[in-house]
Amino acid sequence: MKELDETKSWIIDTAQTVIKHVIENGAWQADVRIEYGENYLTRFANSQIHQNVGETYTKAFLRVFLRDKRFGCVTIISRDIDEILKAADQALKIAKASKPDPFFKSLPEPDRILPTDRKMFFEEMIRLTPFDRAEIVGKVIDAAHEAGKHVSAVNGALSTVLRLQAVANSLGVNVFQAYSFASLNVLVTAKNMQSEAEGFAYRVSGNLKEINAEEVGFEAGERASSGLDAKKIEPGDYEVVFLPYATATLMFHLAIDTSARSKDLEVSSLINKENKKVLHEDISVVDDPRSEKTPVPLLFDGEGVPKKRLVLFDHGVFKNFVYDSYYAGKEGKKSTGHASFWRHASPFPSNLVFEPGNSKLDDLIEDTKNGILVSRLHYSNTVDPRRGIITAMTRAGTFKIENGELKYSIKNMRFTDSYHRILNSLSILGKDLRSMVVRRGFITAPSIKVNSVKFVGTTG
Amino acid sequence: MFDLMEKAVEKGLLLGATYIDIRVVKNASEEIKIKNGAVEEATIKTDSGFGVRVLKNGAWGFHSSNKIDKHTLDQVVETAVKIAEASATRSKKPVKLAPVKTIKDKWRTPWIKDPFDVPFKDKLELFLEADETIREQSDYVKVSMVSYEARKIHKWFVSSEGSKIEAEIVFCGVGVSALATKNGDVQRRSLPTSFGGNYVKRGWEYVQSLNLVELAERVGKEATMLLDAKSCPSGKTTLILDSSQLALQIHESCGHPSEADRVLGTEASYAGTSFLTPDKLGKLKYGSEIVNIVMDPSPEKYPEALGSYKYDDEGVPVKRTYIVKEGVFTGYQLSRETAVELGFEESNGAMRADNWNRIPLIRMSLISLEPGDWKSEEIIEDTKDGIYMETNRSWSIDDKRLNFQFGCELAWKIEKGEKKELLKNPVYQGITPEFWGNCDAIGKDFFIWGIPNCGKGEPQQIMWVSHGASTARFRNVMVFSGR
Repeated sequence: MKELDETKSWIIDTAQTVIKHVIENGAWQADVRIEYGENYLTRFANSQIHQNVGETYTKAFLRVFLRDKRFGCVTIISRDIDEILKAADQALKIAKASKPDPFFKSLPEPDRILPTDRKMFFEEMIRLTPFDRAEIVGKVIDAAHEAGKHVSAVNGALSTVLRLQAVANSLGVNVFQAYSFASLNVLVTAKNMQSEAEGFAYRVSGNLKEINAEEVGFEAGERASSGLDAKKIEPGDYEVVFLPYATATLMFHLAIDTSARSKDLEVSSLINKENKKVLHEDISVVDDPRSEKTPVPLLFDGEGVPKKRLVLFDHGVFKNFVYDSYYAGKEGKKSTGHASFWRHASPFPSNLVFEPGNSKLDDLIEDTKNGILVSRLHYSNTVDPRRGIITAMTRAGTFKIENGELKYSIKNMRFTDSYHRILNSLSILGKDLRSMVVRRGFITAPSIKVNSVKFVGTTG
Repeated sequence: MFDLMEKAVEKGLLLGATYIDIRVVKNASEEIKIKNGAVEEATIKTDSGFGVRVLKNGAWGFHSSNKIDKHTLDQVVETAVKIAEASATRSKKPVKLAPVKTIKDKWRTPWIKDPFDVPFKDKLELFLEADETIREQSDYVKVSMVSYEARKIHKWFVSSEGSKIEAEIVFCGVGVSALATKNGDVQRRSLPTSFGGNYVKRGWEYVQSLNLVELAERVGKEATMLLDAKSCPSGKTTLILDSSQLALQIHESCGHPSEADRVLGTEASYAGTSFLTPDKLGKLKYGSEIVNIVMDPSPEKYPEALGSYKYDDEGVPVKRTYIVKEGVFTGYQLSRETAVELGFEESNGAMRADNWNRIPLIRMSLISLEPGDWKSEEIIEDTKDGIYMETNRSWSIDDKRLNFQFGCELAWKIEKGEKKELLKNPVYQGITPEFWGNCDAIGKDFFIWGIPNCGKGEPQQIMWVSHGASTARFRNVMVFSGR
């Protein structure tokens, strides 16, 4: 801990030194983010560890603005103050050679960060050894194999992340946070004489201790085992039960559309839809770092602006885009605290929560007459951004539901449809929540049952 | 540098490693983005560090740091060895590496004007002119963008088998795009291609060789024209793809599935596996007889291709390999480890890492569809009824690389051998071997496209790759409108 305390002091002091340096050398405004990170990732495939990697780094991102709104940015990975100051001089040089950006108004003023009762940094995560990680992976592999005799390969990754971050700017912002999290993704393959199937499970938590490795392995193993002997069904319009992992992918596309950058680029399906009902009335989505449902509370954004609860969808009504200071200034608004850590002008939600309902997964299945259970989506992409049309393949557990019962496993299918249309056809909200790491934030979502998704193709 | 690295290799061997390699990488990159007359991004990135990969007890360990000094190197080697020991506790069979000859060499890519020596103001002047030209084309153009990136990499490789390799790499690329809107419809047009433009292993002279302002005029005009175009019709038809879209088709449906790590399941949990399983090698009819797809990143032959290089990040010299020969699936992209597992005598040199803090993975290099003997206009003239599509707009493919769907920026209805009508929102989909099996004409307008942003692995790595392709025709393909 002593080393981390020293690192904390170093990044806070360095942030101040850098700001002072660029202001003394002609910058009108400036901000800097400095991050120290320790990341470890143990990958396993074919039921053994095959990649096992680690990194430590100190990274800084600095922006300088001149009075006439010319600006320059530098990113440097270094813990050498001379190198960082040299990079800062380079940012000034770029700014002086640049052209004014009339849309830039100002960096944010300091604001009070609301405290949180939640613990963000777990000391025990520092003390984890490669052998501890290998032991956890072993538990996952063993549990997955115990889930079914046809389990042939257990694949996935266990990742642990520690971050110490400071953000400072020339207007007085000076904030620090330290947080940790661990994630575990497991994809199990089962095989019999005739077929092969996959099952997936995922967990993320601020503390690795809270992830039950056996449970994750077993969940993926069980789903893979029950997916064998898949049948091919015709594409068409089906009712769908999306498990939380799949719902989170739909939420990711929705999150992209809530960014003020997507709006500015005219590629958001939510343009001109503020305060209009765009999704089913049971759907409420918030970005809330203090929600108990989000794995790690991120208290401020890349510009040091405090994060507060922001309602994105209230009972289906679209309420807010997310802003950083650049897009907020451009539209004469206030930043919502969603600046990117490593990019200029690229806001994105970081603690997205799709509020759950009260129904069990069984209720969602029982409500389905002729439908498909989708465990996970693979390689989703936007087809028509203004209409929210996306395409994706189902993966790792796709099952036919008939008359309220899971009937049989089916081959993976492709849908191409508008997520607005899909989410407007919501029938039941599940109460089971799962979180995923997305970009540098988290998306938490429940299972949902929707009445209509257009499938356009099948594999196999 | 080599002395410091060799001492660390010795340290690893003393700690019981049976193999160790160290890569030191120094990077510089410059990104400039112009949007609607404003400089949206003007960023210089610099970093340097090293990565240590060791084999001990038959298992891999890797660790890295951005602090390059003897003390840190020793610490990182120790940690990498410990990680390998931990990996071995859950390892079923020991890793074996295919042999490689010892290499002592230094090589560099062929740039003339170092992009980092060109004054920022000169770059900006050109990009701002292009950006303004885009918006001048019509009032419907709401967003004009110019994207530019240059990168300079200096790397050193040392292995416990005696190899010492130094490489200096420079690449850059640029692209222009326009977004036009009318009545809620948005149409995008990008040149030379979409998602940031085209990239090559050349210096600033490449940017100067493109007539950026002329491209800017085209994107502005074509995005506006697309607003009034009809939507692409639905149904099975003859599809003609331009070389830029075909490059992405090769990338997704041939490049990724022929990566040996995917085939052996080690990318299963993230990117997926492959339908090109070992039992199909030499047997599977991947495409029609005119389809020849080859991996050939040789810098002697293609010095400017973004994906070309002399040695991979295992110190293996690159080797030309047919992935598909006369329509039959014939080869993989290999590492030393997967070469042994799949029964090959040697690796063909496909292992690359995107930086010092990442392990090498099997990555595409230069994978190309060999040209045919048709002129591109002859393919159109020879087509009675069909759709021609150009420039990628969206992509998606399943985990085994069979079921794909691509959207393009622009299409033309072909009737009686002529481009008759402009179409918007074109999308096509298919199943890989059926699609390539229906390829009946390949042009000789061969062009190598550079893609700087192929993602793979956990933690994710972004790699620069390239694909040579020509205009080509495919029969009986499902097309529809993406609206």
